[in-house]
Amino acid sequence: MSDQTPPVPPELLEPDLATVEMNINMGPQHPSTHGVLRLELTLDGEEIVRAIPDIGFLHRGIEKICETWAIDRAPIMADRADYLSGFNDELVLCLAAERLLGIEVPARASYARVILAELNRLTSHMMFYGAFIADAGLSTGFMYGWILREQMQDLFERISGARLLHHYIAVGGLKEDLPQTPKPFKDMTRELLDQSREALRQAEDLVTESDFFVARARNVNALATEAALELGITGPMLRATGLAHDIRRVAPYSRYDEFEFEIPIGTIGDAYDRFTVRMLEMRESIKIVEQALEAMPSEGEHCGELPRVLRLPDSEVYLRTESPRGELGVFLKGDGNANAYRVKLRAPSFSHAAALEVLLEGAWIADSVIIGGSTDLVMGEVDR
Amino acid sequence: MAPEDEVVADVPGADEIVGRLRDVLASFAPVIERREQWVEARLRPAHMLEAAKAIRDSTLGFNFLSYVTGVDDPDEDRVDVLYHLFSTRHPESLLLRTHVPYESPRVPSVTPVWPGANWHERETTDMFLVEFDGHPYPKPLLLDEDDLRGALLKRFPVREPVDMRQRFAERFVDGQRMPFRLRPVRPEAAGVLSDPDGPPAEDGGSSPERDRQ
Repeated sequence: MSDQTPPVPPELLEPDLATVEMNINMGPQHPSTHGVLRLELTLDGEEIVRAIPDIGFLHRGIEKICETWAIDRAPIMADRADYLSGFNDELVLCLAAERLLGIEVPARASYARVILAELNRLTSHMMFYGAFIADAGLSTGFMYGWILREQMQDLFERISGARLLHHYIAVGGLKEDLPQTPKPFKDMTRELLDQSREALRQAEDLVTESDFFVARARNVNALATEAALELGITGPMLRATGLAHDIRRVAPYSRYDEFEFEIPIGTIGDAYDRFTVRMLEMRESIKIVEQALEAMPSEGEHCGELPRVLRLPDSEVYLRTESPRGELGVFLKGDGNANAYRVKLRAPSFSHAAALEVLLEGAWIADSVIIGGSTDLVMGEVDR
Repeated sequence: MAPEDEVVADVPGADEIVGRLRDVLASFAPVIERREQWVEARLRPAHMLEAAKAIRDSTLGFNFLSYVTGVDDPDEDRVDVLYHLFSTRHPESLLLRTHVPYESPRVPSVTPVWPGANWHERETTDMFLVEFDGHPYPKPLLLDEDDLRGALLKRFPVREPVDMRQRFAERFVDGQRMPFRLRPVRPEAAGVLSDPDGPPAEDGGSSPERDRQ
């Protein structure tokens, strides 16, 4: 916007106007800081001179708790990290444990996990869509995001009993088999995919016909790939800069190498590119779920063979997955007990929240909300 | 940066990386091991920053630091510090390890080389009491309560839940004693900063003791 503003006529300028830098607090309670994030802002008028993020309001000691529980209970805590995509959290911890224990996950469970993880990507990105578009001022879009989320959470509730914190993906596969009532799981999911396509169409229409939304997000916070990699940025934010780096392609897990899907990338890494990348990713997620539904055997074990006495070997593994936010990884170290010696959750939002200090410097305060929203932070995984 | 600009010609395998790594880190006398999932190099803490520079400036292709963390080793009275590096150009990864003794847990910060290490190092300080010399902002990140620092060390027990209302009855904010009232309050009393253990209201206003009855 600044390059379109006409210059102020000289007679209106007051060169002797004394100004002071203001130190203000944004958050931790604020309609626009997604979750409990506090930003200490130093402002020169409308410009952010310095932004210091302050976190820790949601720290619950998830890693320590996971280290005291037997590893088959640990996924319960994991989905409280990135609570907007719980299946992805559970999946990464289970995959790491299965790698250490040498457990093979049966085919039916593997495909089901992919379906759930991708449906989660859809709910998470629709949440992003609603929140981001409302941040930009187009409040109508907020509820567009929630419609599909609610429909999906109804399905999640049928599957796992819970809308948000599922406790469904377990070490070895799934906690119990997919529901076949009121309709077979595949039919329910295919209906959901039809609803998703319709919801996506409506969501995209709202945006493409909105000049001012584009104006609010276009050219805001353009980011180069090198700078993003230095800051530890992954996921859609990194792909928006033009690098097609997706863990599902680079280090496939849970049969992702069997599916055909594209990796949308942006050009200049601005807020609008980050938004567009996520919108396009939703289409790819729908494709993946369709393929997984075709490939999933209708019968089969939902959980692999677990040893009667669960003991993690004396070794380490780092398992990374592509969560809706970026590289979600678990460093797991066993020491011969049922509980892990060290559980380190590598959360994408942690690095993105840290990057805010760099990203917000020099931005307008009105854009701070756009920039913060475009990072799609979930404080649960920042703080753990 | 368009994907066509990515150099894909140089995609070294793990053995090649081990070979190049020995050259790159030769002056630091590392212990290099090829593990199942990554290449591991154990270094002395004092060498971490120089080793980081050497790795960044080399042809190894590790352009992404995923995380920095600690692993407690109470048998040896030390904390292992891990730095896990990845590449956007090849599928191999490099895990740098160093260890610092409990009595002097200091290692140079690698933020000059990898700015993304900033918060990872602050968190490692909070959880493992490791100090990163030269860190640009060495303040607590997740744990600012003094008695919770070092929470991920094995000697730090998992305790019974603490009633946080008592803990936060008084906080110091900018050197000033600020009593916070973290109990249900009558709407007309909300926002009033007063002695948190002041006399209960005559009309029987809300309080946890009253609510529990």
